[in-house]
Amino acid sequence: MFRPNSTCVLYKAGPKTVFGQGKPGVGVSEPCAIVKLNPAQAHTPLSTHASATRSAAEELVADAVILLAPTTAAVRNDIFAIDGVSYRIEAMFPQHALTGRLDHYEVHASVYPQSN
Amino acid sequence: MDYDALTRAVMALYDAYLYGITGVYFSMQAPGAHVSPRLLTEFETVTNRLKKTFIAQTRGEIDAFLSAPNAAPDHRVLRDARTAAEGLLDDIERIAGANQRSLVDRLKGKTQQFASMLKTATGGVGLLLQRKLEKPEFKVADASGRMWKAPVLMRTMVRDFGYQNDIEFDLAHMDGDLAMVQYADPNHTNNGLVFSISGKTDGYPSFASIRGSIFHPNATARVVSYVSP
Repeated sequence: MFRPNSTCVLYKAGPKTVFGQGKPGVGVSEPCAIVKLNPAQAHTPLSTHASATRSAAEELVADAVILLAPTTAAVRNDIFAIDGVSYRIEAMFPQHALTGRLDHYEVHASVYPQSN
Repeated sequence: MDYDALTRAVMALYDAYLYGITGVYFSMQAPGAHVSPRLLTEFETVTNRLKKTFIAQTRGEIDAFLSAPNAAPDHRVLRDARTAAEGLLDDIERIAGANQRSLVDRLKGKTQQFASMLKTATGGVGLLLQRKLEKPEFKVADASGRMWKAPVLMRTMVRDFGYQNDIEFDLAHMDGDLAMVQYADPNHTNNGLVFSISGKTDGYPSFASIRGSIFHPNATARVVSYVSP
């Protein structure tokens, strides 16, 4: 069951600049629920070739996971901001209730713009 | 009114509804009765009336639950609860409709030859006849196609609705952002787990992230306000 208890500002992806970069459009407020927020982004301290096992470090795939209402206007590549930190939507997973009704969207996002 | 009372009240109404449509069904599939389109229409008319009554009474129970004195002080929480209630009522109506249709199918599938069968009803045929005359068991499929006993699915849905709203109302009454999970059994693994209601407090799991695992449909966990020492 989805109950939004926070709000985020959603910026629909606007037209591209002459450099092919997306421009965020006008922000609208949307109800959301926060599952996970990690506004910091840092390089992993391990690199594959330097570690003894030669295995890769576990990487954080999404910096933020939030839930959005089924009526949301958000799609992939849109940008939303929570408390002034912007995230770009990487993936959206529709989640259904037991009887098949669309309950909410699980949205995975990463910090925007990328700091590296 | 707490969520257990809501569940009991709605389940009593649902049992009465199933009892009612089963009664109509039995009166129409009596030995020798002829199943005509007119009979089926009549069955649908009568059971539709029962369904309408059931939905209206269920709506009343849910309204009473949402307007209880312990319900949300917050307009937003109450509005969301009302939206969820509408969704629940839609689902309840869909299940009630499926129950009704399953009886129509049973009526249709039955060639009413009981009169002639009764004369020679021994052994396997007798068992078959018993099977045909027994009280129908109501089953419904969920979205993934899994078959449920209808009363079990109904109970699960109604209790979950009541329980989730009860938790929401308790959280809405709290001033801070941190809350603690509490069980009647203090040795429970998750007893004392502290979480952030909005998900914005660092170092604590958010409510949305633990909701599925802690506040599941059959859970007994309660929430209390928590102040970081």
